[in-house]
Amino acid sequence: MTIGKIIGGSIGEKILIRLKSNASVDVGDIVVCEDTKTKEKFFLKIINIGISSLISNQFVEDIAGQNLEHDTDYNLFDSDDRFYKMCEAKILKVKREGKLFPARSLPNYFMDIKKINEEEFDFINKGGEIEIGNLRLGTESFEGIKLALPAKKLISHHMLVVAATGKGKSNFSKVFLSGVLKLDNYASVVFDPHNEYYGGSGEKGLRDHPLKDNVVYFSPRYEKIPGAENLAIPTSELEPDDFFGIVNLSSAQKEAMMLIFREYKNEWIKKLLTESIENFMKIFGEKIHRATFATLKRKIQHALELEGSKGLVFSIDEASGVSVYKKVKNAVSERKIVIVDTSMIGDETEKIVASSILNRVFRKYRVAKQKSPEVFSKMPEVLVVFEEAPRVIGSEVLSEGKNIFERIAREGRKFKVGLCAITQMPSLISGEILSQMNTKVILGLPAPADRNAVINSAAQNIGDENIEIQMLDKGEAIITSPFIDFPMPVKIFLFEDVLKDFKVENPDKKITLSIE
Amino acid sequence: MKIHQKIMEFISKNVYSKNEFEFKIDNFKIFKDVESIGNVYAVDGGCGVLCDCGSYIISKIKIGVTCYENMKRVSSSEKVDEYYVFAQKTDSGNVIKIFPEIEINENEIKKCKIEEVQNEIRRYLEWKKIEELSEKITSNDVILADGFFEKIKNEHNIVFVCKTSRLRSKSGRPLLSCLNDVSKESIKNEKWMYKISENEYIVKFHEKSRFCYKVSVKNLNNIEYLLGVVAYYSKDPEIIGYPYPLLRVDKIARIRNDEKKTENRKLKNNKFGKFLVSDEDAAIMHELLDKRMYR
Repeated sequence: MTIGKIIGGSIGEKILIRLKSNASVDVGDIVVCEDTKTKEKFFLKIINIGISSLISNQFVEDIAGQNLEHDTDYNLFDSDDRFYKMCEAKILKVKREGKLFPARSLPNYFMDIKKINEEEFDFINKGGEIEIGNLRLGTESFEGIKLALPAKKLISHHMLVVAATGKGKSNFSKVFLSGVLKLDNYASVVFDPHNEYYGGSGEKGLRDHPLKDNVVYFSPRYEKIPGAENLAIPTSELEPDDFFGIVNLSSAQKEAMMLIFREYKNEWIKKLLTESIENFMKIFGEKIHRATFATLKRKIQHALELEGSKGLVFSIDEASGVSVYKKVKNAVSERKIVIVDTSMIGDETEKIVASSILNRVFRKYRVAKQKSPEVFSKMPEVLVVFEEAPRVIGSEVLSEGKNIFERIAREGRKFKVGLCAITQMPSLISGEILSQMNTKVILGLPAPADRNAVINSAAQNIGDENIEIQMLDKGEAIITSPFIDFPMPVKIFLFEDVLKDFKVENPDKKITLSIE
Repeated sequence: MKIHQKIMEFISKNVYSKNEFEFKIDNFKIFKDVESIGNVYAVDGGCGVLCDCGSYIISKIKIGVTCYENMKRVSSSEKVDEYYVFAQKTDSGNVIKIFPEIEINENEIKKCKIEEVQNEIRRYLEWKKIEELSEKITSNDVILADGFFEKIKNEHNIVFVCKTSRLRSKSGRPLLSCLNDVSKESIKNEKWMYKISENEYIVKFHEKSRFCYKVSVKNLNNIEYLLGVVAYYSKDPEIIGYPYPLLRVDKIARIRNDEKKTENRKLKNNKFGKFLVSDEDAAIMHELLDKRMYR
């Protein structure tokens, strides 16, 4: 059915469409225009809708005023002809002789605009492995068209998941991880500050997944959760690097940490916290100022949340059993998903846990690539999921020193380590890091500053999607990536539905996004 | 004293006085709108000079008809007929040629100025269209037309609405304005008609309208129904108080400047049209000056 006609526009700007009076069109809809003169088929995305009239604005205002102020009895004759809706659209692709091309031509005046049929989405090439949702046009989703993201490249090229509270960040991440679980050559390390990924107390999580054996869960309250591992880290396993860029430290304090570490090796924290300052002064003399010792002692004790020699995660006791770090590295090698429950520890402690784990995982990959390329080639790609990412890759944090997260964002893809940064305030993340996040999953951002930050750093031009991003409802997303044809509107699956459907063999036609 | 003030002082002393119009209150009649049970047709014509070469003129005429039923336009009944007129001044009178050919009494238009020919033909075609339409309408249908045609034979429901009028009071003020002023004081928030001659009324079709119009109706037996129906169709807020079908038909019959330019180009850009460029120069200077110096 014809829903509108082309009435103007340009390739560089927007295509203008006058809508038929009974046409129902939403921002985000994809429509099609078949030019009968050139035989080209244009796929257009609606980016804005407005109302318009053949009558000058002054008259329109007068009409409203007369009715409001004087209750004037009136009737709008030919109202469909004179008062109508207009759309702005952008050309996604042009199909010519069966092949798709970027938009370098325009449809002619008065060409019909029609709603797109499911069959017409054959222009989306196959290739993705991680099914994340259905194609969404405006507010309507196409159940028959499942969209899958290509894990290869996409994971190690980093992801940014952005949304305001309640828009479905965690649901998306769980759906994505569910997809990762099914794949052979991928692993993930998830830091979970809200304890929502593993599941429990009525909330579904990865422990409810049929492939739950490939999930390893670390928690300080491991005793209450069957199958959970103890998140207990002796301070002897920590290194100064684990604190850099995470704990606010002056240069003098960093230098002092390095000196103490060199002197005492794995006992450096134990000594720092237990030795008297006088003893330290005797050993280090003028190399470290008295006040520096005192401050450092206080900062590290606070950062590790130690009460005496023990904290919830860290303790200065001797290590017993297999270290958490080793277990995580093994799980990653075995292509498993590691979930680290940090919900009961403070912000700084959580960052030290994450930083120390990632330092070791990243080091393993880096060393493998340099020393054993063959081993490295067989290692799985690993995705690091970190919530409230500005805490570790925010401009303000990084201005005080670099950390492992920033390093992964910059260098990770060379070593098959990707970062999935989740945040509701992308504007706080440094612009350089944002542009390193090649794939962006945008789930509704009301704040203009956050939208602009994402739009300006996107791999594709999504400036035209500004209004749509603002209006995205819960579970609705726009995904932009250099590895897909165009910014893709998606209705993300509900994780609960993914769990249910996992057992059922799905005979539906699977249409997926293309790999470049 | 500034000249503008002088002008207005003169007019107010000589033309404007509160007692200059002796209206009869009984001639004012309040009426209500009537929901039409038939169709409402509107007829109007438009014309424009496509090419003025001084000694001859080529013009275009459009005669439009529109139809409304229950306030909705009946698209299939809307039609525009187009005519082209060649009018040349010769010593033996005007040479007139109409495309496509129609039967017309050329005696009158042979004598008038060639620039007036198109208007005369337009009026003739409008009249013909109204006559033709009046043959087929039912007793509940109404035909609306702009202006007035004395020679209309059929007394069916034809309502002529004049947008402007030269009618004047004794002192010379516009009659429409005098009546409007009086009505503002004595007939508020009502539609009214005021009889000024056997077939002519001054009518306000909407209580909130600023304007009243001179209306001519031949079928006086049905006057309240006819004016009531017109009032029912005069509620469009774009020009409240003016019958919307007339607004619509004016729009489709109007010849806009863009259209004139396009037609002019088409006349010149064919194998017989080359001489038109130089011929047109004979009369185009005024237009050129307008465009270049006073725009």
